[in-house]
Amino acid sequence: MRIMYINNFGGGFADHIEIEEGTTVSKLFAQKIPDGRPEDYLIRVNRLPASRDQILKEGDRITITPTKIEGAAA
Amino acid sequence: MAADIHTQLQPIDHCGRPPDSLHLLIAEIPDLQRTCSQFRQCVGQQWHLAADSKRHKLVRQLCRMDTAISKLTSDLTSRSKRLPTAHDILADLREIEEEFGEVRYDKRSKSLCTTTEPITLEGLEFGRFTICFNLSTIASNCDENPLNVIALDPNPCAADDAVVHPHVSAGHLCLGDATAPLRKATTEHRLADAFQIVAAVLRTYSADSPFCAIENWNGRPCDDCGFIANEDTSFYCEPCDKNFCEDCFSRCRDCGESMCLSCLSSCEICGDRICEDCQSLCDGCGEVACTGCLENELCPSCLEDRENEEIENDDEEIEQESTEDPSDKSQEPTSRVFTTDSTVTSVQSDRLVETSIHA
Ligand SMILES: [Zn+2]
Ligand SMILES: [Zn+2]
Ligand SMILES: [Zn+2]
Ligand SMILES: [Zn+2]
Ligand SMILES: [Zn+2]
Repeated sequence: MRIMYINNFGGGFADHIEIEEGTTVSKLFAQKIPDGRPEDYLIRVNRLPASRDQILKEGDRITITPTKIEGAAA
Repeated sequence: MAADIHTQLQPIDHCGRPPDSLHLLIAEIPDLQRTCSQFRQCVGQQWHLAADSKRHKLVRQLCRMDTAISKLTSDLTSRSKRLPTAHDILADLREIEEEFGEVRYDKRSKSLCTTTEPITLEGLEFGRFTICFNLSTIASNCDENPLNVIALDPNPCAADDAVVHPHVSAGHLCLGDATAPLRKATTEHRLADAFQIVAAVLRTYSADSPFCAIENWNGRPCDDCGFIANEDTSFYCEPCDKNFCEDCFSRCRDCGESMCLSCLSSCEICGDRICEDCQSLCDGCGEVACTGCLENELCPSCLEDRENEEIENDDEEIEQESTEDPSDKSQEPTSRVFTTDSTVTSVQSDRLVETSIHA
């Protein structure tokens, strides 16, 4: 099953990926960001805030954006 | 609005990058053809060494072209593949509005803007920030910065009015870890993501590399070295009416008065800091010294010189006396010469010489 997966951390990523049927938001999160905590990220499915146990469907668009990103100077 | 924005975001290639790299690629072809026919000739003539060298050249050229091709391909496809439709833009605008409460598009300046909530970091309030993206800069896909961040309720750092957030100076947000994901989001015209990434940076304090550290936000810059010292570590120098950091501030070793390093001198003998009132000059060489380092108003080296001089003078006088007319000696054998003011005008015996030296 194909979904659109966008992450806005690290180098950034936005592309279609294959996932297993029945994958939940938290399962995908754990696969993609194994050492991250979901509460530190803004997770939206089809542009709406998503709950962790929401099951992803074919063609869904999931975005994961950290709520805090370290800036710099100069 | 979504339609306007969609039109505005149509790639305009100000920087002309794809045509440029395509042009470079095409320019490689005649070279490649030449190397190729030379290689074929070398092989035909069985010039093994030359053939080998041409083969290497061919590989290098192909590698260069390979890199150029993949760059060109990714440039062209990432842009055509991902560019959102007007419908996507509308969804983005709704998402921005839902997240920030508003979104504005200024047709004249081609800027899409939103405003954050009031931002507080480590207990310090920085107020709201307007985040603006220039869409024509985004559309041109140049390296130029499309982002501008404006403080609506500015609480600038004491040291620099332009610094309105630890990571914002003169409208420029230093993106740090957000650089790559923001670049990707703007290149792909994911506007809601771009605003969220910027807001995430504004909501975060990175103590490692701020324009101005939060603990020094209300501090004062040291007039000497520029370091921003906080209230506890900033010192006022009365003589020059300026503020200094700990490192650029000291006290007079004699009277204890605190002053900046420029208002204090150093004793050239012991190195201790002394104020103008407490400093003395050596009578001999004019060096600045503290009272403790001068003896009879002389620095140790001038004192030594003077003592040596005195001994030399005395020696000379003794010598002069002893080489005077020997007839005097025969006529007036002893005692006339010894005077009380320690100046020996005429010395006749060893005992008297010694006395005069010690006088
Ligand atoms: Zn200083
Ligand atoms: Zn003093
Ligand atoms: Zn001073
Ligand atoms: Zn001294
Ligand atoms: Zn001296």
